Amino acid sequence: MIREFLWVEWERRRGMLLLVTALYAAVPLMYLALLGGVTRPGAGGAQLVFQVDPLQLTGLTLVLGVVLSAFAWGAGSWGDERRGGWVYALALPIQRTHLFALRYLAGLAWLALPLLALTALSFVAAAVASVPTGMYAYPGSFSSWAALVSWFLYTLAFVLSARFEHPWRIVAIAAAVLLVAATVPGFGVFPGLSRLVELVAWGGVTPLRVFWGLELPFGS
Amino acid sequence: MPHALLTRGLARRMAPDFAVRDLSLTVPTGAVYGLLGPNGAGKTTTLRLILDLLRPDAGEVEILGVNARRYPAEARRRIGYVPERLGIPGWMTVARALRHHAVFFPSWSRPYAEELLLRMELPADRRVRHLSKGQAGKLALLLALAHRPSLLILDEPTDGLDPVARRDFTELLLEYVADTGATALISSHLVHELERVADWIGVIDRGSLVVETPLEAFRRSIKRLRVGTGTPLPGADGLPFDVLARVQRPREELWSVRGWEPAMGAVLAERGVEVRGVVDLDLEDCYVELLRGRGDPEEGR
Repeated sequence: MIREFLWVEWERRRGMLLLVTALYAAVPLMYLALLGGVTRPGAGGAQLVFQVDPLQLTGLTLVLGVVLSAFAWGAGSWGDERRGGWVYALALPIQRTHLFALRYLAGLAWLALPLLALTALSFVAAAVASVPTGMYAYPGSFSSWAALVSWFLYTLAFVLSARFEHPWRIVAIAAAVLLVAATVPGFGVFPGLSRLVELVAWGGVTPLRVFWGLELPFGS
Repeated sequence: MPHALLTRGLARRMAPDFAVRDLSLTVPTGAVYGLLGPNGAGKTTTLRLILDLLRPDAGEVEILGVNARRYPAEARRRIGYVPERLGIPGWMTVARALRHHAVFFPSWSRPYAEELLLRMELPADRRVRHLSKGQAGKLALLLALAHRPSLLILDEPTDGLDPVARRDFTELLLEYVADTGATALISSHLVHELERVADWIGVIDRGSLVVETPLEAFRRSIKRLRVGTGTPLPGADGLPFDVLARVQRPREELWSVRGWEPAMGAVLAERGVEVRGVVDLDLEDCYVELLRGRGDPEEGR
């Protein structure tokens, strides 16, 4: 039965999936391009953290794109099946918990595709780039961070979209959850998420801090 | 098994001013059971509670001998469900929708599904979102029938269909029921349509079951009496039948009554009431009089 769920997800959302994959794949490539900025004469790592140039803005936008697309992937899990307050799939002869689990796993399995692309290209980027002195590439950490963030946002959006029909409610509640998570004192269980929240809510970090190890979510 | 479907004390609060209350339906095996009720009476909610699409606050549901609250998936496997609106995702083609459903129903009959597809003249390669209303209705019926269920549950299945599509739909449904001996529970507010197909009737109003009886018995039980007004008329208290409504006319009254038997004319005569005529009603009139007798829904709130 999982095969049917996987197949349905592919048939239903392959266009979106390929777009998300392209977006994920573009992030490490963009960082590779950003590294050109680091190696420019007179530019240093510390300067880059605070400096905002068009490339950095592009990089930030791409990461925001990753964040939003992971969320959108989860939020789209049920949307087109709702008919006046009920979901068609609930009428099928399958336990409700099985239905939710299979649908969740199918969406999550396909989300692995963009994450694989991001991971592979992160390692490629780290291998081919000449890293300036004092900076270190952490493609593994970055990929883990992306996976964690993607999983969390996908799960959050999946759960919310199962409960709520209107997109604005899903977005509003998700935003509330993220803001609360970011402001709860002592929050630090998911440093990757903390970074993400900072990034989304206040734009307080640049993507470089995550990818190039100026501040690392998981250490070296 | 005498009953294909049994609910006992089914209840669910949907809004502060609306709830399904203590609903006990008994659908005999092999019956075509029409669930009638005005818009907003709770028909769709009742069907969703039966199918476990909504979780009841209280009550039990037994479907073909299976405790449907404990084993909802097992119960649904034996049911063909036609929802009010086709729920299949619009991106699926008709053929894909059939393949998708086949995965979930072990008893799915591919040859029968293909036969129905041909008979219904449904375009297999057309996306569901591009089907006409009539075609969508046919597809819903096809999906409900192709696994050869013993119980069909249809929620306003022909609402919005043109007369030809409605006739085709009904013919197919009745043919299936006649061939297999399946039971059908059909909710509708289209009384004339149910009158043609149903042999049992249940009337639901404001979330409660008002009547459940064989159709003929229902029709026999509600009459309109023309009553002479030469003498002071008694109140409804103490009469051996229910007076649902009284309409004044010059020199006579029209009484809509429930539970009327011809022998009751003598009881009225003893009280000095002259029954000038007894008028048979069709199902729609019976239904309307019954609901009128229950009064304005706003009054009770």
